[in-house]
Amino acid sequence: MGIEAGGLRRSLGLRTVVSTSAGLTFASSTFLVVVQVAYYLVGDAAWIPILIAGALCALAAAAFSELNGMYPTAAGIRLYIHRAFGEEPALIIALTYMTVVTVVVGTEAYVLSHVLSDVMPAIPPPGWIFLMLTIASVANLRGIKVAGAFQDVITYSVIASIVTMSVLALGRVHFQIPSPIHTGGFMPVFNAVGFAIFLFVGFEWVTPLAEEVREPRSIPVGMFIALALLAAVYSLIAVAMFASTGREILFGSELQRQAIPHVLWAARALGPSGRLCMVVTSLFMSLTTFNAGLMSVSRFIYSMAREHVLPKGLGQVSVRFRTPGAAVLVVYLIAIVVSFIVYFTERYVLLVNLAAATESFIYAIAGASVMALRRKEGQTLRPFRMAGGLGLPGVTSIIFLAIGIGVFFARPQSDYWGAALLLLFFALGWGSYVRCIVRPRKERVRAEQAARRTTRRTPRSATITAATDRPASDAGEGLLE
Amino acid sequence: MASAAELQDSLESFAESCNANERLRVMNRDWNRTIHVHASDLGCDFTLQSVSGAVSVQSGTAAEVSMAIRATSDVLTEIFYGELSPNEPYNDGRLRVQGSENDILHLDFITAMLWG
Repeated sequence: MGIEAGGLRRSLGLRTVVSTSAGLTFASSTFLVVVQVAYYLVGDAAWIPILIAGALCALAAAAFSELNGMYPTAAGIRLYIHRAFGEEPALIIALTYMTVVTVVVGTEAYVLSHVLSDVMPAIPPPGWIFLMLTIASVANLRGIKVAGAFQDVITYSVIASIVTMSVLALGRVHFQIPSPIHTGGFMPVFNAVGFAIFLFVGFEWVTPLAEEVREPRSIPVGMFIALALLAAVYSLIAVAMFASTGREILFGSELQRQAIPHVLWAARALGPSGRLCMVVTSLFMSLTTFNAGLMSVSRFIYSMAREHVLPKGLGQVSVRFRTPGAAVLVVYLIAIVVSFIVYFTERYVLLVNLAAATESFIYAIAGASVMALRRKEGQTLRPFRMAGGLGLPGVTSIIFLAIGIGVFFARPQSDYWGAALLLLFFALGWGSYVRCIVRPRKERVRAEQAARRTTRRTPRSATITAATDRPASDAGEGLLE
Repeated sequence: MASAAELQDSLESFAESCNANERLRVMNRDWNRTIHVHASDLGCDFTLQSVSGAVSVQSGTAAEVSMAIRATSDVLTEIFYGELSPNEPYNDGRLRVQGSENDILHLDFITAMLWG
């Protein structure tokens, strides 16, 4: 355990940063995307868009590294956007993003329920959804967090398992890959890159650990290593899946997509032991998604309630477990509702597309934040600086914006344009909420805070300088842009 | 800008409130932490200690701390008097809290239980 100047203890090393960054991206639903990426290309070249997506995410990682170096806090993107573009845009974007994360948790519950139901058909998928989300929420309520050494074990086990299964499956076809570089042109690759971004969703969620790492450079270095690992692992399994099993078997059809292609592939390519291995791997992958997703969203809701953005009741704390109890309960209920909606409508592809596009937009915003902060806060210390002046952050922003929009137009189907409508609905809804409800509420709270300051200062202090004796109407000046 | 005396007064007021709150004493009973409080504009330091549910304040810094809180004296004073929720300055960058995510959340829980 390291101690920095000022006496602060720091305990996390590079290995845990890598495992956390990579581990937070793992989800059972990523296999749907691996298959989607591979299916829309003509040949067996899924590794190409996956590697391109990984390389592009490295640009986003560079942007996050600069922002995180400037403001190494758990507030993350919420703080960067606030500093770059003001309070209201930061609130709207953060609320929309967290809504999408909740939806992804619901999708993950749906996919995992089918995986488990495939192994134990006695319990139908809705039973598994209820069971898994209840267990995950109880763990969240009790403050149980997948972290540190446990995260190391999960991440590196999942990587070892996927690599082993992929190599064994390729071995069964004598490492014959029919057309490894045949993509079918630029547009299929461009669209596939958009989907492949989903495979890396969440790598940047490691930034809240910035205050716990022994070496500050571990965060950017760890993110880059994690992205390289993820790109290699997903490229390998994408090639192995399609080299050893028929395309339609894994994909299903446009109208009826296969919900658990990874389990189906493992069973066909490696037999019952392969199937069992994949089920356990899938369970591990979902564990980190549930844990990180539910915990992040519940803490975000709690924080928003404390900041007078969401209803005050959501800021209630469980004294026994020292967790935001009300927020955990609300997230649990939302995740259950979303999961059942996904189960009955089977529109999980729409939600996966929504998540891929939203994450692309978040990366675009990260690039734009780097540009804005270089202009607004040029003097602030930057332990890590993204190369390329304003050009590279700008290019990063434009590329991810294009990729995000591209996801919506990849196919003329409701699973694609419907994702755009849903995102628009969330963003406009939160935008209206912030303008019509949060803004007046914050103005009222700030006036109350200023009044309290005035009453406190009269009896308690005679040592305040004139600068603080401003009128109540000036309180909070510059906060609500 | 608040004075060092006022910042100390706010910290002592915070410690008194914590010690007077039975539920907080229960919640903090095994949360033993040393917290460094630094006012960036005054350049002065204080140390908050939570030991077996009791909170105390000293001037200066400890050799080894679990958390570090940095902000201007005004922001710190307002937070520790309970006039300002720490979430707002934390989320806009005026307040910097170094430490584990769980400890940061725990500290916020304390302010939530004291002042809502």
